[in-house]
Amino acid sequence: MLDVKNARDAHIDERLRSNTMIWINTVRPDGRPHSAAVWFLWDGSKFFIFSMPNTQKVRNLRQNTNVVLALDDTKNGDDVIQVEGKADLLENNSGVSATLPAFVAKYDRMFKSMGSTPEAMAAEYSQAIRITPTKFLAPVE
Amino acid sequence: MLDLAQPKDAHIEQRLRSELIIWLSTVRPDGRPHLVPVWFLWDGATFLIFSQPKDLKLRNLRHNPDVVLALETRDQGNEVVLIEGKAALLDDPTLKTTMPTYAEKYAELMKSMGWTAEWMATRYTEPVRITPTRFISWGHE
Repeated sequence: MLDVKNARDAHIDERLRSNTMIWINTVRPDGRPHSAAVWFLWDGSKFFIFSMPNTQKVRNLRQNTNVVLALDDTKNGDDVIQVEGKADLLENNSGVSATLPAFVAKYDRMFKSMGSTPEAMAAEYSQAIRITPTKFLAPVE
Repeated sequence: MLDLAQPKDAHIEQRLRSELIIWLSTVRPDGRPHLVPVWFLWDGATFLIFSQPKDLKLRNLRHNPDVVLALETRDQGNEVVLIEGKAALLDDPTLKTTMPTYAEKYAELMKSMGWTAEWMATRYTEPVRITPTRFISWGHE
């Protein structure tokens, strides 16, 4: 979906790899919107997010798999990057966890500053969510 | 809802008055989430935003007035402020982007975009008032 030979897409890809906070927006079973700011990994084709097992977003996704992701940092509205997609809740034995080397490398500094470890996060945030993008929204002003 | 005698709430109030961008989450008629960063004015009790008549957020709100607002975390995630609320589309010609409180808040940003409050008032003609029903915050020490 992103063509990194294209300068604009390469910029989006770079921000998705380097930014640390993303909003995941879902819809509650009663139809109200829900937002959460989370850590995430973008591998070039999919997003991975790790959640505690029974959070509101997980309950929402069981009912409605549509999500919008948005990088938290908008550069004061000048560089808004959003992604529409579909979420899958991965099984515990999927092998995808917060100990993924790419995730550990990305959040190494934050794990250390929080006095946490990838293993501790993997135990607590045991529900892996994989999001497949359907549309990238990044208007150029 | 915010108790300004509490340092944490006073800090949130200060951020709501000074920050320029807030995320607005709504739900589309087909049940998918929608998200957009918007300019806003917090008056201590409600949020005022201005929309263009054909914006998707307005169409969504006609169908479902439930919203979530979220302040940017500046890619840090250590100061999250979320506000659940109900939106009302207003028919009040006195509410315009030329209102001094609004025009002053966004004077610098408008200037940087080559906009004026008067020009904006011809485009962003639809005032929307959001009344908070719940504040959710964490990470404010």
